[in-house]
Amino acid sequence: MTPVIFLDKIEKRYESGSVVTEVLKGVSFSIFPGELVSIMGPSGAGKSTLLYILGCLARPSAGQYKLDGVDVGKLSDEELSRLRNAKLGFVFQSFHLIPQYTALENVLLPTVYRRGRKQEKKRDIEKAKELLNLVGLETRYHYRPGELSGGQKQRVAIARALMNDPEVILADEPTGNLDSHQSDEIVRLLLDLNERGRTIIMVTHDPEVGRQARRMITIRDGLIQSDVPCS
Amino acid sequence: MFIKILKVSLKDSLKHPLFTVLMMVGIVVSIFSMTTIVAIGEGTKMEIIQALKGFGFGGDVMMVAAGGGRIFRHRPSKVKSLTVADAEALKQLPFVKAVAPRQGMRRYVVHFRGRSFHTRILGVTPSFLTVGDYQIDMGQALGQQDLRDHRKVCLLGKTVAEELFPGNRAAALGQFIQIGKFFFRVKGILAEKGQLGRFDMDDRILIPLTTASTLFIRDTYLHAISVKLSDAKDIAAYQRIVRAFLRKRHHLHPDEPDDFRVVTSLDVVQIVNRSSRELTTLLVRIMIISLLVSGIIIMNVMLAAISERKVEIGIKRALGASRRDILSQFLFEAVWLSLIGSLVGVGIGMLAAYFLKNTIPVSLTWRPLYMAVGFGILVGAVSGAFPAYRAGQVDPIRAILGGRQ
Repeated sequence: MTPVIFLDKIEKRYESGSVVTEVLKGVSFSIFPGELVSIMGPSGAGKSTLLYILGCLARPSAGQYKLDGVDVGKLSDEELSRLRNAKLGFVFQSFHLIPQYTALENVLLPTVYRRGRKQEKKRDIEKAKELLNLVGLETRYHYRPGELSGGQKQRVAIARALMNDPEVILADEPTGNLDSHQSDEIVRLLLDLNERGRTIIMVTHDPEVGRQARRMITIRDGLIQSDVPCS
Repeated sequence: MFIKILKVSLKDSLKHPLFTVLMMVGIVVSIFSMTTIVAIGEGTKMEIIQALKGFGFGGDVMMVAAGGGRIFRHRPSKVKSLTVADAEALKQLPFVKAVAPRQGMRRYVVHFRGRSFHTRILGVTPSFLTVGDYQIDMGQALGQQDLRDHRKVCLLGKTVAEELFPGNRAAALGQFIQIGKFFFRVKGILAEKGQLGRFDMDDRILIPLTTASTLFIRDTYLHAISVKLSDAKDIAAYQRIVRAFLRKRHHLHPDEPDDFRVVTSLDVVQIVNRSSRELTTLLVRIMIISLLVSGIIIMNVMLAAISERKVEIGIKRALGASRRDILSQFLFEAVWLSLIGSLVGVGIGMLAAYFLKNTIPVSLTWRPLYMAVGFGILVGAVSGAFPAYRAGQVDPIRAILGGRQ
C-alpha cells in the first residue's frame, strides 16, 4: 500500500533579518489511508508548522513531501491550491467559519474553488445537507455561526472539511476552544469518521485527546521524539 | 470558475454592506455631477442651434456683412463698402436665389400716445421677410411700392407691438407711431420669433430700406446683405465664390484685406461649438479629478475591508482558493461596485436633469450612460488593482492563526 502522506527529512527555517529560527530539523514519517494520527508536543515544538506543511499552506525549507504520490515541492501556487481543495480538509482551533454565511453556505464554500469537475449545484447542496445531518445539525442549515455553540460550529467546520471528499483531514487543535463535554463529542465524531475510513491527522497538546488516536507522533524541538501506536 | 468567483464576489460584498456603500459613495457623486453637467451643457448648445434656425440663419442662408475681421461684432461696422449695387450684382450668381440688403442696427426711442420704447430699427427690402423667414401675424408685408416711394410705413416686432399697444396688438394696425422725429404708419405686425440667448428677436421695427437711407442713415451704404441660396449642398464653395466676387467688385488689391465678411451658419455653429468645447475641456478636468478622488476612496475602503477580512481570505486559501482566485474576487468586487455606483449616479443625474427640464435647458442623451459605464469599469479596475493584489498576497497561515504564532 502506498502512503497517502510521505515525509522525508522535512526542515523548516524562518529567517527574519539575521536571526534564523529552525522550527523543523528533519522530520520523516509516512501515513497510510485510514489512519488516525495525533501529533503531540509542547507549545513551540513545531506541531502547527508541520501541520501547515502537510496542508500545503507552507513550503518546507528542505526535504521531500509527497501527498497521495504527488511531490508537492515543485508545484505552483495554482497547483497547490487545487491540491488543497481536492485532497485536504481543514479543521481549525477557532472554527474559522465565515460569520456572514449560513451553516449550509459555509459547508458549500470548498465547491467554489473546485476545478475541473462539472458543476452540479443541486447535488452539492444535497451533499452539504447530508454532511450536516451526519454531524448532527439537520435542524441548523440556515443558522449563522453566531447562532451556534462552539461544538456546533466545529461540527459545521468538520462537515465543510468533508465536502470535497478529501484524502486527509487535518485538524489543528480541534478541541482547543471547547469545554470538556463538547470536546468529547468532537473527538467522538472524528473517531466515528475514522471508523468510516477517513484518514485524520490531528494536532493537539491535550494528552486526553491525543491518546484516543490509533497512533501518536510526539514532536520536541523540531524532531520526532516518539512515534507509537496507541492502545 | 470565473463565474463562480464573480458570484462569490457579489455575494460577499452584499454581506459587507457598510464597506459596499462607502466604496460606492464617491463614484455615485462624481458620475451624478458629470451627468447633470453634460445634460445642461448639451441642452444649452441645442438651444442655441435651435434659436439660430429661428433667426433665419439656416443652412441655405449666408450673410455678407460690411467690414472685415471677426465674424461677430457688438456694433454695426462704419465701413461704407457694401452697396445696394453689390446686392443686385450678387443675384447674378447662379446659386443665389434671393438677396435681402439691410441698413441700420441702431436703437431709437419710439413713441405712441405717451408710451415709449427703445428698439432696433432695420431698413429692409420686401425680400428680407422671405430670406429671414419672417411671417406676418397681422396686417400686410412691405411692398415694392413702399420702397420705391420711400414711404414711412413700418412692421412691428411682437415685443414692440406689445409695449406700445399693451393688451391689444391689433389696435396698432393703421396707427401712426413716432420714430425719432418722424411718424410711421403701422402696416403689419410680425409673428413671434423668440429669443436667441438673451437677444430678443421680436424687439425690432422694419422699415423700407430707402426710407431708412433718406431719413436716418443719410447715406446708401448697407450694413449687411442676407443671401438665400438655391441649395445648401456646398456652402463652403459658395462662400469662396461670393468672397472672390465681392473682392473683384470692390477692386481690392491681393494684399488688401477684405472690407466685408461672408458668414454662414457653419461659421456660427463652429463658434458655438468652440465655446462648448472650452466648457467641455473644463468639465473633463473636473471629472478627472472627481473620478480620481472616487478611485482613491475605493482603494482605501478596499484596503480597510481587506485587512478586516484577512481571516476570511485565509480560510478561503486553505479551502483551495489560489492567490489568483482571491485577487480576482476583490478585483471583480471593485469593478462591479464602481460600475453599479456609476449607474446609480447616472440614474440620479438623469432624474435631476429631468426635473430641471422646465427651469433650464437640458438635453437627455445616451452619452452620460456610455461614459458612466466606461468610467465605472475603468475606475474600479484601476483603483481595485492594488488592494486586490494585496489580498492575494495575504499569508494564509498568519491569517488563520491570527496572532497565535
